Amino acid sequence: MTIRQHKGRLAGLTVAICGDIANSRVARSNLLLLGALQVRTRVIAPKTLLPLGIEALASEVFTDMREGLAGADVVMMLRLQHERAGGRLVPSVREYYRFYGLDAEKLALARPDAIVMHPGPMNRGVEIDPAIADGPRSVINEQVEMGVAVRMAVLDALLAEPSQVTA
Amino acid sequence: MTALVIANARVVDPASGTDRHGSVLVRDGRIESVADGAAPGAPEGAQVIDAKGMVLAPGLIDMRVFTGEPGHEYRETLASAAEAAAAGGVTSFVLMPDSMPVVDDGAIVDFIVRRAAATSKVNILPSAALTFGLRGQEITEFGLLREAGAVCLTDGRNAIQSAGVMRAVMGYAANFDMVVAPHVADASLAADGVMNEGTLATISGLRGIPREAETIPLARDLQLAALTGVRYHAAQLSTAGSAELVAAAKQRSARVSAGISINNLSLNENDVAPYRTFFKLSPPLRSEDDRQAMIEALKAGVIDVIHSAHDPQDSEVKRQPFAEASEGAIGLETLLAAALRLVHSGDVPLMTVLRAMTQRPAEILGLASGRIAAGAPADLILIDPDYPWVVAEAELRSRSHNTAFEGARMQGAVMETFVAGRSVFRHSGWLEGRK
Repeated sequence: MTIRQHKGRLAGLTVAICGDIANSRVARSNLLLLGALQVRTRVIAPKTLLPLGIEALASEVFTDMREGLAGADVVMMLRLQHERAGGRLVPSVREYYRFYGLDAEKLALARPDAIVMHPGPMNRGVEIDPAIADGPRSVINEQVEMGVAVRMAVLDALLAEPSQVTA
Repeated sequence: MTALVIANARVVDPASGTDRHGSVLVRDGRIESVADGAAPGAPEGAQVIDAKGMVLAPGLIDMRVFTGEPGHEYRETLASAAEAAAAGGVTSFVLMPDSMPVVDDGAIVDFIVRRAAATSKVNILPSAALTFGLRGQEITEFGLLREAGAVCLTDGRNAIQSAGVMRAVMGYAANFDMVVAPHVADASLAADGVMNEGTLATISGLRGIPREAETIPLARDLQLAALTGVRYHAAQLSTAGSAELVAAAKQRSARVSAGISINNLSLNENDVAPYRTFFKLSPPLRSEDDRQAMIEALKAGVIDVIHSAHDPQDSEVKRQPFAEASEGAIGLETLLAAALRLVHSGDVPLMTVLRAMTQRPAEILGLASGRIAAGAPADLILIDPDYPWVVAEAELRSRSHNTAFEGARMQGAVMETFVAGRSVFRHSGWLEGRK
């Protein structure tokens, strides 16, 4: 809904989802739904956060964020669980931010009118520069608002009479 | 800088497969041109060196060198290792991360790059640790380490025991297209072994290290390398079984390579016999059958790289009962001469031996050096392949004297070493007895 409001359409857009793909429900749901809606989907993550077989869900897979962002209409960042940094999958927050954090320099590689999304809650300074998160291209607050509406609709549908759901 | 012409040389360049009489023109630290036959007209003012038919080869690239800097400077500094390297014809070496502090942080890589530039007469290429503190648990910041100048990743003397950690390491290194070059050993199998497991160890009453302590983790690594797509270099192998595993893996992937210490290629377990601790090495010296298998693997291209495994240890830790003594031997100055033994014995062609110390390391590490071609850095060595000499530990330039070749009669020595076109070593016997 947020994307449609800003872009007027979904089909033909390129959406780049970046971050902890392996541990993200958001990424899987978005890949399935956006894929069904004719959106070109990209995932961007270090190899250690990419589940095997992800290429079956996404149109393209990148380990280099700069390459993955080139020409994207929508940049969707995912939360990195702090606990995962400093261990086997990601060595540190500073390295993650350097190579997979969305800052102005990397965002400049996307389309000039690209919007920035994040399902929240954000780790400012880990996966996203605060200036981007709260900047003019961010539609994150709207996305959260839409999320509430969608959840309400789902709950409403589930609580309704079975006959009304199928209708 | 003025131009330099090295004329009347036997130019041996493995990268182009050429072995011919010719000359090389060097300008501004780079090779400008290579010419066949007698010397062409040298540019005005150029310095001309008549090589008198000696072998002119690319400077050697040694992929496995330990020093004591930072942390144990009494064993070796970057500068003293560079002196030894220059005398041995090694114009570039990869520095292992086993120092104090461990090279597991970009700032320490940066320190080594600057320190080497300020004090060293050869190129020192820092490697960086795969895991923090070489503990085999948490992966380091490969991206930041690469940006700081690390040329490859390895835990040095330490071998990663956990397959899960190794998978994470390889996946994350593949991400940055970095070479993972680990020592391969299973600690639970090697246990407290101190030499090759077998009859000799049993007779000597020393605990053995089975070959499987190498082949089992190697098989694991090769499978994980295929899974992750990483560029994998088994740093130092020693057994016939390992060569078979690598040969099979190479059938499937071009991103696999393997190295061997010159010690494992030119010595065997019999040298250990009277409890000589200077032959206590890691991996241990194996049987003659293993050594022969490794020579065949080198000729077949299964083993890509020969390195010195230069590891300075002071007498305090070497002159100990065999089981308690430290592992390791120095080798920068004897690497080429020991390798030439394989040539003189007729086992391996000169071109093959040089390829494993020039072209292949350069290709694996992505270096511009290691070849004699226009545009390449003028890292060159003049070799007298027949020069006779005897290794005397007191004359070696390394700060430590734990050589495995003490008293060895050698045939062949480096007569002059050039780094970026500048002479950094000239043998006192240059041209002696040569017409």
